[in-house]
Amino acid sequence: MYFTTPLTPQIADTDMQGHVNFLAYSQWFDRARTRLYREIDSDLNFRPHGMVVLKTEVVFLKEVYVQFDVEIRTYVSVIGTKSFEVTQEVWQRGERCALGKSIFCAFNFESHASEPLLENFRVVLQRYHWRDPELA
Amino acid sequence: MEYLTPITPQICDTDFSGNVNHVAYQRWFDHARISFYAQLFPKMQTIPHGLVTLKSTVEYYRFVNVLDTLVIHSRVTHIGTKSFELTQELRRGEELCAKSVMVFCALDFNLHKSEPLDDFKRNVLQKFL
Repeated sequence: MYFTTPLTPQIADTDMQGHVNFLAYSQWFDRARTRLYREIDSDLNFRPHGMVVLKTEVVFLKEVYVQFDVEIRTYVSVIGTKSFEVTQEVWQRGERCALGKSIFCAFNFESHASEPLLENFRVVLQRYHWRDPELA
Repeated sequence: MEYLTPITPQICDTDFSGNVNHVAYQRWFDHARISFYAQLFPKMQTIPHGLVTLKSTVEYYRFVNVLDTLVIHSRVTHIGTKSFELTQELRRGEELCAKSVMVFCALDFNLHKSEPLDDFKRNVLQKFL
């Protein structure tokens, strides 16, 4: 199942077109993923067994405005041998405004090579493994 | 024709891994789009006829660190009736470190509806194809 992260947009998140700038979404997604990172490694050490981002994608559905709080929904949509995909949604006033997908790969920072996902990663990823039926 | 934007990484772009954080790449790509926007929007007047981002995809190929000499190569890769696609490559010399593909759509901010790209914007976009 997904977990939710409530956020209050800031003026600094907006741009001259009057809405929240899309770069803020990337920062919000990163902030919301911290819970996932902490459940995998509570010290956020990730040495030597860590992960790297291979790809990010954001689809913008509706403008987001600074006047209302948002909710970030985060879940793991795909779990592979070495990589996994995290899907995140921005919700404001009961509507899905943006959809983000990030693909991560398990990475060993000593050997500087990808590696299979360790058990402590898999346990947490499985906990939030979910598919949004509205997006299927 | 592509246009080039030199990028100077800063300490605040890095994270505890010792490398530049992936979110910083997206800020750099945005920075590289400024001169592009300035040509599309003289005086940066984007209201009421502006652009919205429909989709942004970034692929990360190589770590980048704070001492690297970087350049972003930007070019328009597709022009539609209402939308266009901009492709940007972050390079360290000949090495491709990351690639961004963004789709934009012309929007009337008064009506909150998409609209066709006007001739002025179309001519600018054609220059960067």
